[in-house]
Amino acid sequence: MERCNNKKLIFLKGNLDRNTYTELMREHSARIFAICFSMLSNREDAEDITQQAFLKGFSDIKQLRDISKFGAWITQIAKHMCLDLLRRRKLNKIALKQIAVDDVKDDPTCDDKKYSRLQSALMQLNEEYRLPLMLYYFDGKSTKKIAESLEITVDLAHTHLSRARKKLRQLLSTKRGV
Amino acid sequence: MKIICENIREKLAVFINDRIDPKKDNALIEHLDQCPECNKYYHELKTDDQVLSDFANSMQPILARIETNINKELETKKIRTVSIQKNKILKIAVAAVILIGVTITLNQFGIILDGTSAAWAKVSQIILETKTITFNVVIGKGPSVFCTASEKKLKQELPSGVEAIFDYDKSKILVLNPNDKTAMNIELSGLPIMPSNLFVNFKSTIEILKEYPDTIVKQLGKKDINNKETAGIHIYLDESIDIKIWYDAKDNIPVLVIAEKMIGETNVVFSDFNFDVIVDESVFNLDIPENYTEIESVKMDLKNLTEQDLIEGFRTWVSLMENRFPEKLDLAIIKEYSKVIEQTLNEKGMSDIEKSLIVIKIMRALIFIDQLKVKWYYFGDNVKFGDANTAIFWYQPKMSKTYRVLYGDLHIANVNPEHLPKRP
Repeated sequence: MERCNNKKLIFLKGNLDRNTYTELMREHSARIFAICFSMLSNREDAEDITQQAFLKGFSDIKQLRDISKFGAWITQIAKHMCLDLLRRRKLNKIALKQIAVDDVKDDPTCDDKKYSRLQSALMQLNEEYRLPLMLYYFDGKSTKKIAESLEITVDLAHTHLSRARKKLRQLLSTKRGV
Repeated sequence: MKIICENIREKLAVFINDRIDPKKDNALIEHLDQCPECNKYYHELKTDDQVLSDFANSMQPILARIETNINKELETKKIRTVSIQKNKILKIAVAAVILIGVTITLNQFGIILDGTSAAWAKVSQIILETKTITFNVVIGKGPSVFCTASEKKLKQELPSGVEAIFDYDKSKILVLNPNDKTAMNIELSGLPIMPSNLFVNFKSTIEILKEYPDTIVKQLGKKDINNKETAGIHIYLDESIDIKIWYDAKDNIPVLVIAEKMIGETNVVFSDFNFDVIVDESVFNLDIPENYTEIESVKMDLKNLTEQDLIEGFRTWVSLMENRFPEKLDLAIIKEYSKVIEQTLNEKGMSDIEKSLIVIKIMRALIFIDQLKVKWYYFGDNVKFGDANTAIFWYQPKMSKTYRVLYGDLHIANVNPEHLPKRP
């Protein structure tokens, strides 16, 4: 609480420095990445938009009056950017699912290849299930957090998670069968 | 499936979700021991959970990379963006810098006008002879700004109360916001041409126009402005200069000046003139008043520009122009393409500040080229961004045996003179 108050103070003075912002970014980057990944079905785009969202957040920070709303605010920025990209993709007539499955590139910093089947199955989940699942695993494995993020009840968060896992298992075993 | 199994499985999922060890629940453990189906289900759940956890962990390097990249961006150029964005008053300062940039652009044009019209001769004389002046200026759709100007100094006062004092000799700008008692210093250095304020710039334009034989001067007739009978003249030369001056019919003192497209596509309107007013020098004092807090100090150095500025400028340009490079490289190109640039940036939903910063990026590249003391070659016209095999720009730095060659994908390389690209 003390830390939050300090941040708030810094904020109100209009002197937000880079270190404070880095701290905020650390707190929220996994969740933002999960949301972008879930919305865009593509890891590289998710990485790009997460970066852009935080940079825009830093640029526009003055617009945010209450530091406690940073999470919701940066989420909105990221979602907006994702939707914008999706619109552009639609314009370019790129099949989203295709990107998700095919766009597995050699990247020494991630295990895309190892998880390509899992990624592909994840992208076939309805977003209703995919997002809670990704939020859960990327952002601290807490149903309470998911419930807060998605503004749903904790019970519903449990239900979504269980159904997501079940569906995922079905998808993976079907693929295995093929 | 039995109802009990269904309940157990629901419970197991909740336990997994909440990271609770099922061993803490005796009834649960008892059931798992007796029911192979549920036991299998539990292990599957655990496996799925592990795989998904591993998958999320595999993304950790990406999250770290995102963080590093953002920090890098913030450390370098973006930090200035941020400083600028976070203070509204900086917006004015940035606009001012843009104006200074534009004055450089305007200086690139061969200019205009003649003194055949007697009215024009008198009106221009008044403008040229004044040493100090106060006036209102509206740039485009911007607010009316009250200006007090001497030859080398300018004070702007906005309707919001914000004041900006420009000292062109010292290359300094002080911005004061009386609303929250904050002050900000901006220091400019390395400008290729010493900038002057908008009015002085206008004055020098008039001076050159007066001596230029091809200037066209037309009478515009008469009209009442603020209960004064005024007469108008229209002075122009091709598309580059277009000025209408309405002056008091009795004493020839200008009342209203409309300079079309003076800044890019933007009109500048001067009005409410007071010529040769007595101006106390303290009006232009650059000291921060005692009860003000200094919130920002920005240095904009255009002296030590590097190839990186050139590359950034090109990158910015191609991002705005459908991956095409400019057909030529001079400062006038910003003016020529200002409409397209503005439209593109508007489509991207950029704020005025973001737009200004983009233009500054392009300007920095052009100024870098302007400052090169050696001969350079540019063949970027018709080259598409990404073409790694086609050279678009090269020059030989002083004392260097090799040339620096920039290619269409914006990589740069040292090339021996005998291997220089053939000119298209």
